[in-house]
Amino acid sequence: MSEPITKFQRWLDLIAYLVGHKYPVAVDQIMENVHAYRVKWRTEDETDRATARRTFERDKDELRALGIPIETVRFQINYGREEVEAYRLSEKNFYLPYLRLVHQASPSGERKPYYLGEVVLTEEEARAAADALHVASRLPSFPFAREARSAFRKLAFDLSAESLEPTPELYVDRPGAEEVLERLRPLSDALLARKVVRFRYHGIYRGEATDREVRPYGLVFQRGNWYLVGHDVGRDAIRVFRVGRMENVKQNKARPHTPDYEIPENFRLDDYLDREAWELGDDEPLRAEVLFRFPRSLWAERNGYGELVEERPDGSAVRAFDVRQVNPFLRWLLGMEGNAEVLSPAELRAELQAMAREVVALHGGEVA
Amino acid sequence: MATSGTKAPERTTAAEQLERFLYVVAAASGKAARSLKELAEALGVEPSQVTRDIEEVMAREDYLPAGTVDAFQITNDGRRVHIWTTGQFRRPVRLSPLEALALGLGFRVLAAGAAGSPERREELLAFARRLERDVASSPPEELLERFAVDDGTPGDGSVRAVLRRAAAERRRCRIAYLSSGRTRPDERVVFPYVLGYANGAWYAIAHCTKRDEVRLFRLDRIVTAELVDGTFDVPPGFDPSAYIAGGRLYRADEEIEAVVRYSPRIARWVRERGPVEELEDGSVQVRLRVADVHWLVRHVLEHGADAQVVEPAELRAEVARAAERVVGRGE
Repeated sequence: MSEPITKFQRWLDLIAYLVGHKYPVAVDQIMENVHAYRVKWRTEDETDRATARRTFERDKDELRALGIPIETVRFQINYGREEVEAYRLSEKNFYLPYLRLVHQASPSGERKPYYLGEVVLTEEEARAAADALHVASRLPSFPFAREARSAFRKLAFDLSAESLEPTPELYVDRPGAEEVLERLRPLSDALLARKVVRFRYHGIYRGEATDREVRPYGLVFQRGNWYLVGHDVGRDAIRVFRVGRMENVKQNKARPHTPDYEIPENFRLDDYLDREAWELGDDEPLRAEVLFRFPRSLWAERNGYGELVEERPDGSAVRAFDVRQVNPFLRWLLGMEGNAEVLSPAELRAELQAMAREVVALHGGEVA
Repeated sequence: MATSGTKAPERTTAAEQLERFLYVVAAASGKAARSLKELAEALGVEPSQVTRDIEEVMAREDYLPAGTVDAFQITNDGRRVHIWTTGQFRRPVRLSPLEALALGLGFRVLAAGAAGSPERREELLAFARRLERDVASSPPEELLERFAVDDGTPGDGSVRAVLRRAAAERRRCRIAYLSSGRTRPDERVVFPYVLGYANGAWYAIAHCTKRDEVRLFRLDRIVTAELVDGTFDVPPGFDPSAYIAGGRLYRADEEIEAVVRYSPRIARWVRERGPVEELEDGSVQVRLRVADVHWLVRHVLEHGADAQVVEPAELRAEVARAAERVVGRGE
C-alpha cells in the first residue's frame, strides 16, 4: 500500500503537467492525466469523481492564491455546440524573467527562452532592491520575513552577491518580539482574508483587560511596535490596538474563503501613521506653544516637531502643537530636562510644573 | 479602496515545500551538482529538510506516465544534489503575492525614509512599481494598502541618507552632533560602520576620530551630515552584536547600573519590556545597565511620578536636579 498523496505532491503534479503544455488543456484531460486526480476520476463511482474534481478545483484556487498564474480558457467544439473549460500555465507568466546589471553583457552560450524576457537594472537599482528586501526580512516581527528571504533568493539567482549587498543596517528586536510575531501571523492572515478577529486587550489608560471583536483594516509598524487598525465591533468605531498588548488572538474560522466585511472606500491606513502619543485620541485638540532652548530648538526643527511660530535671536524657538492627550505630551516635555517650556495655555504650564515638583519630591527624599 | 473578494494567499506547509522545491530544482539543474549544505543555507532550513522534500517527490511508487516523477531525475548523495529535468523548472518562478508584498513594503519603507528628497522618493517608487510588475506574478498594490511602516527615520531623512551612503561606500563623514547636556552641537568626523534601529530610533555605530573610539550616535541628534574626502575600513574584529542587549543599542564599556521602581499603574507595561522584580504594593523594580546617564534621566522623567530611581544616590540627585530645572523655568 503506497502512502497517500500529499498536497505538495498534488500541486507539483498539476503544475508540471500544465507548464509542459503549450496549449490550454481541457479539464477532462487534466483529470485523466494528472495522477493525483486520475485514480478517483477513473472509477465508476460518481461520488469519487466529484471528489476528484473538487480536489482539482481547490488545488487550482490555492495555487492561484500562491501566485501560480493558472489561466482559465473556454473554447467551443463541435461547431459551437459544446463549450470546453481548459487551463493554461504559460511559461512566460510562470517563470522569472532574466535579471541583468546594465553594464553586464548577456551571458553567451546559454540557451535562454526568448519569451522570458530580461529585466535590466542599474547597480543602484539592484542595491535598492536588496535594501528593500533586507528591510522586509529584518523589520522586527514582520510576518512576511520568510517571503522577503525567498524573494531575495529569486532575485539573487542571476545577480552576483556583491550587486545585492545591502547597506549595512541592523534592526534590533525588542524583548517579546517572538510573541508579537505569533500574534501578527493570525492577524495578518485575517487581514488579507478579511476575517473578523477576537482577542483580549490590555488598554494602557483604563488598566483593565477587555474582550474585543475587530474587523482588521490594516497593520502599522511605528516606533518599534506593531499596531492593528480596525473597526471595533463592540464600540462601532475605528480603533488602534498595540499588538503586544493582545492575548489569545483568534480568527473567525467560519466560512474561511468568504470575507466577513468590506473595508470602507474612504479608509486610508496612512492617516494612522506617524502620530505621536499626544496626537491620538478623540478629544478636541488643545493648541500648546512651547519654547525650545538652543540647541534643543535645532533638534525640534531637524526632527519636525510641531510648527514653528517664532525664532528668537538667542537661537531658541517657539513651536506650536495640537495636543489631544495632555499626559504623554507633558511627560515628553519633562524628559527634556528644562530645555522645553510651555508658554501657553497657562493650565498646561501649571500642570508641567506640578508634574516636575512631584518628580523632585520623589527623588529628593529617602526612598521608602 | 474597497477590496474585491479575491481569495487571500495562504501560508501552509505545502506552500513552503513547493517554494523550496522549485528553488532547489532551479538551483541544482545546471551542469554541475550543488552542495546540499549550501542549498539548505540559502533556504534557511536544515539539509535534512531539503532531502525530505526531494524524497517526497521521488518516493512515489505508483507513478504512471505524465506524473511529476518523470519530469525529474534527482541524485542526492547526502552532500551534493544534481537534478536533471525535461526542461521545466530550470528557472525560479515569479514572486508570489506575499513575496511581492514583502518587496513592495520594503521599497515603500525606503521611499518614506527619503521623504526629504521628493525626487529620490519618486524615483524609488517608480522603480519599485516597475520591478514589481516585471518580477511578480501579480503587482502587490492592493495588499500594500493593508500595511504601513514608519521606520523612524528622523526629520526629512537627509542625515540618514548621507550616513547610509557613507556606511555602504565606506566613506568618511562630518557630522554636527548634539551631545546630551551640551549647550551647542559639536563637529566631528566619523566612520559609520553600521546603522542600527532599536526601540523606535536610529543610531550610527561609528568610529569617532575626535575620541578615537567607536561610539553610538543617535540620528535624531545629528543636526547636519556630509561626506568628506577619504574612505575607511571596518576593523576585522568589529562586531555590532557587542552593542546590542535587551532590545537596545548601547556601549557596554561605560555602563552604570541603576535600580528604577515603576508604579503599579504602569507596572504591566514595564513587564512587557523584560524581567522585573515584583514588589508587594504592585509596583515593579528593574535593574538597568546603561551607558548614557542622560538617557536614564530622560527615561525616568518621561515617566513622570510613575518612575523613581532607587539607586544609585548620584542618579537620584541628577533626576531631582533635572526636574528642578523644569520647575525653575516655569516660575
